[in-house]
Amino acid sequence: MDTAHLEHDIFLLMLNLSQLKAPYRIRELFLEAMNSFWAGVSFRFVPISETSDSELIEVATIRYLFGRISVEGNAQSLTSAERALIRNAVSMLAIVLETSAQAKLLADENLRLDLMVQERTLELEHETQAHQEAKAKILQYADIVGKMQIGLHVYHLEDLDDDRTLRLVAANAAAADITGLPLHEILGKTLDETFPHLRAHGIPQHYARVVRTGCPYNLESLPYGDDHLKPMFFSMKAVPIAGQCVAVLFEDITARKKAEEESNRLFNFSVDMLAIAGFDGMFKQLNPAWQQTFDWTDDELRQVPWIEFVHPDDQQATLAAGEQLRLGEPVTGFENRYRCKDGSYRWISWNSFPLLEDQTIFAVARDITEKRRIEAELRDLNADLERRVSERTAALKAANTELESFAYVVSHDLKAPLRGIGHLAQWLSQDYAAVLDPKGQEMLAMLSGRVKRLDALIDGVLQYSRIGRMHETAVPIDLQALIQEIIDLLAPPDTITIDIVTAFPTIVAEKPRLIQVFQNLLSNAIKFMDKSDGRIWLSCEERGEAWVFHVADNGPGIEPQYHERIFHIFQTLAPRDTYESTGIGLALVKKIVEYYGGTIWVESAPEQGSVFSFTLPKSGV
Amino acid sequence: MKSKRPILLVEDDTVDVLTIKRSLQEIHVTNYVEVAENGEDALRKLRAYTYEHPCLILLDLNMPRMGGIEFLTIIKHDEVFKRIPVVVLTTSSDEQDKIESFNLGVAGYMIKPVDYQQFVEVVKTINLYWTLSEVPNGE
Repeated sequence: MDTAHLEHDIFLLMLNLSQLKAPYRIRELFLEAMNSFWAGVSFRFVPISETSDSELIEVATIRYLFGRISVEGNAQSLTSAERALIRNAVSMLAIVLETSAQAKLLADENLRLDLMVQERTLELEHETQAHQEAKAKILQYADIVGKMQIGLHVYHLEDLDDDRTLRLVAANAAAADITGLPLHEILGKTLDETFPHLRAHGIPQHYARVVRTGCPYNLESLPYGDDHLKPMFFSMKAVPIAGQCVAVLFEDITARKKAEEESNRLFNFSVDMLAIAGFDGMFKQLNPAWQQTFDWTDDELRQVPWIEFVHPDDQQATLAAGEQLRLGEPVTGFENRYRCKDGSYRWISWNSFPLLEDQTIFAVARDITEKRRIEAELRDLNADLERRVSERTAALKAANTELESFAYVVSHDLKAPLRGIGHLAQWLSQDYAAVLDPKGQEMLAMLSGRVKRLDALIDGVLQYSRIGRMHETAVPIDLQALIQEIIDLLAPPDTITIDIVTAFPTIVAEKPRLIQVFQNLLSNAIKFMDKSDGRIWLSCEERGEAWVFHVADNGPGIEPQYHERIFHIFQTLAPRDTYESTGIGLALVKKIVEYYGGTIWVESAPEQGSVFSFTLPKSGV
Repeated sequence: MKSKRPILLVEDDTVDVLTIKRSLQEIHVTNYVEVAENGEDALRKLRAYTYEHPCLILLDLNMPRMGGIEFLTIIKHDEVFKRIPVVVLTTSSDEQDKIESFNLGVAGYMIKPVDYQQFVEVVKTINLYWTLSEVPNGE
């Protein structure tokens, strides 16, 4: 093989080998390739410690790398040029090996560095995440503290033994809202500086104790006000926190306290007795009204079961009511007697309702002793009144009966002798007709007439007195039929025609009275008729709530100035003899009509006949 | 009158007695008229009749001692006397008297007229009626 080719091949080899990374591979391939270039010649690496008989090539730089290369076999065949090439190749190998070794180191170093970087990056990532989480948490807490409606002040106790060293290190927005003191004004100041009057309440001392002992402190209600802060009521809790600090949570309870006071006021000033009691039969809370009513003190009332104050007769019912309450049912309007301190009893009315969850009863009690007394008085008064009324009624009834029997007896006792006189007169006239001249007969006739008149008068007066005093039963009366009966009874002469012009209704009334009315009016019309073609018209109409009846005639008429007088009792327009009139008829009619709530009047004028009209209410008589 | 037995007149007013007697005479009633001046007297006279009773009692209501209603009550509860027809002859037009009288079973109720002639008519009517109507035989 010529040298040029060889050089070229060796060069290519070295180039290839320089691409390799693994040193032992480089050496392996080098030997393989070198062995292939010369036939009969082989190469081998020989460590320093080893001796060799073959020719050894030593390159100073390669010594520590692989020791020496031994040329074995037909070494003499090698030309000096070839030997030089071999030496170059070995040098180049040394360089390549060194380079690759360094490259490897570098690679290793890079790898190691890479790993380190990776680890570090991971570490950093974790740190960042943890950091973020922590940050988020802090923000959350800050948000809570910032938004909570409770005021928060954090004080740092610089000197554990000196409570004057409590200094404000933190506060939330609510604290500023409640106190009206912005954070920047009070931050860093001591408690005494900001709230000077708290010391009088022992507050700084308490805070210091909280920090020292680690025990929280609660104050339900603290009134506080100073030059900067208007007086308010606060509730506060002081809790120890790390770093020798105390966190104070406080609320403005002014409004709540006011409401409490108001409800307390209601409870205390109520005139009604208010009570809270337990299912155990004991009073729990009572307002002052109890003492005012019964004189027992609050303690006395709450010491024994309430049943002991109840009147023995009412205890059964009270226990039953208590049972009802225990079942959850309210009890209203329950009345019983309660004993006062002086031993007397007062009547109480109860409205109670239970609260099962609390086993309590809320009750409102009212002293109704007066009311009952008044009621009893009223009842008595009523009874008395009724008694008096019935006495009076009985007296009236008796008086009425007496009057009636009086009237009856009077009329009877008057009529009897009258009848006697009448009869005797007639007998005289009959039996002694022979000895009586016309004048005598006339006298006897007048006597009889007077007797009849007196008899009619007595009847009329008796009837008149009975109106309003004697009551018949009111029954439905067919007026049409009644009037016909009366006409038949009166039996008017042929010269008089009576017409019923309109329909007459059926009304509810006392029959005898109606008869008296129509009979009197009709008999008057008949009696005073002065015409040979006498006409009488009866009619009836409705006018609103009343019936209006008319008895019209074509008789002589009545002068207007007498229209009122004729209704007076015993009033006649003509001498009594002329018409045999008692003068009672119209008075009687008027009395009856007016007794029934109607009115009567006449429309008449001389030579124009008369119309007597009267009303009767439809609602019945 | 159908019967010839006496008529018992219970009446206290003397003029009324005269009137009735005179009227009866006028209408030719011949029965004997026994007069009692009140209820008590009437009872006594009734019991005196041993074998025959009046065929009719004319009874006034307003009398002293024993009035008409009281008398009526007694005789109407008597086994024998209750059969005797009673016609009340009175001034009283009082409804209560009428009710009580008819409750006790009177055979008639007449108001005494003031006028004598009318009185005669009343008595005539009573006579006519009791001429036509039967009465139990009084034993």
